[in-house]
Amino acid sequence: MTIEEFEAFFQRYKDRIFRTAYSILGDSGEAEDMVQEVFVKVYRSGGFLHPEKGKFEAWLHRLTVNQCISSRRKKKHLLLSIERLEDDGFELAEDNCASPEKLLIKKEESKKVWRALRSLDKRHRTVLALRYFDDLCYDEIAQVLKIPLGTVKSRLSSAIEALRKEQLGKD
Amino acid sequence: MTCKDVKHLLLSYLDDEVSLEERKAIEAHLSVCPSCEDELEALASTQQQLRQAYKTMLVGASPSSYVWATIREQLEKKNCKVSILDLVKSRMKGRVETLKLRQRVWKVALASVLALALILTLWLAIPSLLSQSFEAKAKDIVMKNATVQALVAEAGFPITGLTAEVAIPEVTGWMRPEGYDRPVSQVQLVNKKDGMVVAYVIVEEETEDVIWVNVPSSKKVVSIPPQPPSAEGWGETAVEIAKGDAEVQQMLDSGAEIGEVIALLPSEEEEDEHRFAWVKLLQGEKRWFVEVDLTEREVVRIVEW
Repeated sequence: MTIEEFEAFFQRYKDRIFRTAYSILGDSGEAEDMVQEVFVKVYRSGGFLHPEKGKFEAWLHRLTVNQCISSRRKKKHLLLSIERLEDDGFELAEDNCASPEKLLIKKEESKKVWRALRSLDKRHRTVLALRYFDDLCYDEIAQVLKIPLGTVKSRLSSAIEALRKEQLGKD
Repeated sequence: MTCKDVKHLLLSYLDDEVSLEERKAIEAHLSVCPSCEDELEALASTQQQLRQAYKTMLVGASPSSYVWATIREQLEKKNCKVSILDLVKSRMKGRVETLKLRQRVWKVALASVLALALILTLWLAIPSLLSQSFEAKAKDIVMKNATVQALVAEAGFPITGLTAEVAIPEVTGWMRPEGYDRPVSQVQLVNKKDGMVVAYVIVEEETEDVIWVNVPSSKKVVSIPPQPPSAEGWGETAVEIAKGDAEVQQMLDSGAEIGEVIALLPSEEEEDEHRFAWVKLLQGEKRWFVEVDLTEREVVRIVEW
């Protein structure tokens, strides 16, 4: 595949990869770096040319998660702030049925949760993202992270506990 | 169940990851324990807040437009091949020494003979080397193949307890179909404990697909069609569908030509049975990808770059 053709592939999957990376790393700058790393890796591996039927999506998702887990935080990036997202013109998703007041409350609550999430360690952020953003079941999480089912349960439990402590601490 | 036992299971209960027995026991306890009921509500609230936060923050999120430019730059850097000879020549510029013509001719002749000998050696050795190198890869492909893993596990042999060895065709038992002339590798999966062969597998070298698996103990022989399907099938269909679209027809009438057709793998949101392909259109320097839904037989979108 030429680079031009690979761009069409990039356009098709970039948002998905970005959102997965963002949900784990919590920083849009780092998530963008991760998108670059993943796509360069995919291009060089040629893996997407010969995957097993129906497994490509899972392979790409696993690659992204593993890259996020093994990445080190780059000091050059500023910590993500929700304010930066809005400055970049990123529109927070809206519920068309809710009143403006309810939307505002929802946004503020989400910001608080997001801040608390970002303060957790990466292992906790990862299991929470896989369960509550990617909606994977415990078995699937175990397969992606290559850890036992029992570890998934205990890690999720400690992640939720840590998140609640962080929220209580900030309130 | 005690409160401690129940609280330990509440998150799994909310995620529907408990057994039927556990569920009944938890619900029985919750009906008489306000403290655990409160804990359940608090957990459910936290889960709801998390889901909402992800939805609010991530739905619609997209990387900046410069990301592709950066990726492209990296890919182009690696594609650029620098000629060592050009580098040396550019450094030698201005410092060229004059050689005697007779010596130069002799050296060129000797170099030619040596080069010819090297080419001949490689021509004889490369097929053997490539074959050996693919055999190593074939073992890896077989060990990681989900169908193979499922079949041997079903027969009572988890893949972790097996090793892969390259087999001779007669032992594998695979009969090459008439007219099928693609190169293949034959692999046996051997039980580490007793050295007995558990499965025989055929891997097609060109596509790196597992195309045949035989697990004698469970009497299962599975033939797996290679993926993606042959171009004579879906490729022609994709072109036919693209040509049937009014906008594409307009582009073709304006001088655009159809290039190659590329199989597109289904995304998470699409039904498993839907198949897609890209039909490339070319006109001078311009390029378009026509995304075709082979199942619905319609053009989904036309992407220009």
